[in-house]
Amino acid sequence: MPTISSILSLAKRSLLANQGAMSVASDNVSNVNSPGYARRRADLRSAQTQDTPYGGLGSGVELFGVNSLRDPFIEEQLRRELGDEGWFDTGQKQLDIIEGLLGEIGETGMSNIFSRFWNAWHDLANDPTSTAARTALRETTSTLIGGFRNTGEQLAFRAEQIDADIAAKASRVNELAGELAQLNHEFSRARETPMSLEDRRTQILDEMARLADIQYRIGNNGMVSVFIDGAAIVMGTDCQTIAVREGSGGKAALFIAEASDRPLGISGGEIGALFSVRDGELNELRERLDELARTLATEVNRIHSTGYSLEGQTGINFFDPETTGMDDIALSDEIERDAGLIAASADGLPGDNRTALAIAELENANLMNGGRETIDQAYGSITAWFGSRVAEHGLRAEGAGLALEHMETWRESVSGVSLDEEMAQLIRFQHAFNASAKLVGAADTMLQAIIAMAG
Amino acid sequence: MRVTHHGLVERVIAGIQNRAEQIGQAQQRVMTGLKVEKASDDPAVAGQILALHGSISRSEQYTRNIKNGLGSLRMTEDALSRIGDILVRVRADAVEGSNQALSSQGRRALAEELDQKLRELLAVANQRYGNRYLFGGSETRQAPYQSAEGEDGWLSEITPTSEEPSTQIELIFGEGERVEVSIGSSDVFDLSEGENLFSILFDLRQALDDDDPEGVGGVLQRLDEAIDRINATTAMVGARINRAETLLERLANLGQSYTEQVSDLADVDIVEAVTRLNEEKVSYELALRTGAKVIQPSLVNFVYL
Repeated sequence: MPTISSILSLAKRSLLANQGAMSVASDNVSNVNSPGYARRRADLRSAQTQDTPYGGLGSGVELFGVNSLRDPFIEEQLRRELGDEGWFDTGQKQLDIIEGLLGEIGETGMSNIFSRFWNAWHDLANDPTSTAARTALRETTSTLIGGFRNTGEQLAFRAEQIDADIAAKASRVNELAGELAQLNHEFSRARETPMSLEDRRTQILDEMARLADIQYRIGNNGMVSVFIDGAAIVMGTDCQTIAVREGSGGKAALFIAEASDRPLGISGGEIGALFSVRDGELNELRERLDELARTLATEVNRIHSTGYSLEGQTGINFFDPETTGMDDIALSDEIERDAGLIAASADGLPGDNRTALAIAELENANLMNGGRETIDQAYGSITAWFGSRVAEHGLRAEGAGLALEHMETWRESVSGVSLDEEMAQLIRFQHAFNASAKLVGAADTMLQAIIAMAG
Repeated sequence: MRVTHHGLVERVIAGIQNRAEQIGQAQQRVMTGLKVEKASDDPAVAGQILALHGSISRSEQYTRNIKNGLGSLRMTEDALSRIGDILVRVRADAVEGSNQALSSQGRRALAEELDQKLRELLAVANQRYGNRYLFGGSETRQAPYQSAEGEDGWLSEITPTSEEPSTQIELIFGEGERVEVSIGSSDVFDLSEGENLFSILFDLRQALDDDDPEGVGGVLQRLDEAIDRINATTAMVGARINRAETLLERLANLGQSYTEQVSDLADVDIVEAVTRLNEEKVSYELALRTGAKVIQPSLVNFVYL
């Protein structure tokens, strides 16, 4: 037979259990905007049944535990999307900045300077004895050289910025790895899985996945191991530091600080994108512009050196013959010193303009890409090629953003806190709490009645 | 699917941002008036625009070259017609001088006059054009002909200053199109081996001075040939002028068509752009309005605990 006091203790358990559930709901409500937070559920179970001669009698409710709701598969997929999104977003940002350096495609910009350069040769051909035409040609050429050099400097500066960016992001990875190792330490000491540690772990893994293409494994005790390119960055309570050192070709590369001399191959996330832009598009752009500058200087020199200046000097280079690319293209010392040495004549007669004509005609000569494009066309191709890289990255960044948003919606649907839901829960538990309180009242009345009988 | 408040808010924010980005682009287009500002806006079109800008610049330069060439050609045409005039006047004198009825004094006077015409012809032959000689080609340092005077005050000889014929001035009138815009003195003044316009006039002056009507008559035929020759050369230069003028007209049309093409490719249709901007504005406002409606209410507003 259950006693009145057993009813009282049942009511007490119910009060405590519902109070606990209320506090779980309150926790959810207050963490509605905390990143990494997964909603909790109070695990209410009916308390052990007591066998009586009349059958089993329940002994009320028990707060068995509190669970957090997560789906590791969704989170893993989400982190893959984070890496993609980080890659395309960063790539697009960098490429967009570089495209800006190339100038607009309208009436200003490099292609216009090329036209002005050729036109200046035409003007000299129209008036081969003129000093003014020579001075104008030299000035226009200086503008062209300035354009090349400026672009070269900007691209070099961009590469430096990317290296600095890589270093900053690598040091962020190190910070996160350190924190994960610390978390692992706490996981190893905890008897039950501490949910707040899980929240933080989720947040750190998200951020790491956006920075680089990490692989990770979560053990049964909640400890996580993280690998980049097969190297363990976090393993148990230990973590490895990533350091920036000079890699092949004198470019900055990432290494495990205390171990191998093999650079880490990071091919995903923000850091991967920075490497890819630096060694891919930026490098190719530089090479193609270098070739352009080199070809221009070589071809103009080839013709110019056979021509004659106003005073009959010949064998003079127009551009510096040592020109290797856009960083060192320059006028030759002779022309720099004296614009009068510019050769327009092919036979030494001052009124002859055939050297100037031949150089002006280089504008239409297929000198680039194995004789398929003129210099102007090659510049146009470079611009269009780079533009399409930017456009493609932009499109894919948009796609990656949508995919990420999609996965985030899924995670939110599992782990996110719904205020409406929590309000309803609060009401439910409050009602149950109130009812349990009534139960205490009822038991009290029963006890009073018995005491009165005894009295 | 379970939908949370947080998810709703995120979606509203994403939606509003998306709209804001669109409105930003639409506004940029209206402000700059350009569809394609950077190559990434439309790489293929950007390539075409760059090529067209190159073509425009080239056709402007060709136009400049042709105008420059036309100056030289017209000047040459003018000089040739002056030479023709001189020859016609000389011919009239020769006809008069060949008349047996003319007195020897008359012939003497004609010879005197002929010396002046020789000087006139020499002046045309050595005429300057800018900083070169009109018939000197690329030899700009010395005039094509030099002359000497005899003790009688008459010109005694006119000879070319240089043995070698000078090269002529070519200009680029179009892609792969070089055109000679000058004519060499030898092409104008030399008729055949040892015979040139000056030698005809010298011979005529000599015959007049010698009071030899038959000799004067003998020069007439050579003079006619010379006049034919000058006329032919003038016609050739005239043809070149015509051709240059035609090219000039074509380039002007081409330039206009290039400019139109660039405008078609790069410029925004302003009516369309403004309409787009307005549409974007409406959808931006809609996104704001629905967002505000969606994220405002929650059970919290309706529960009084």
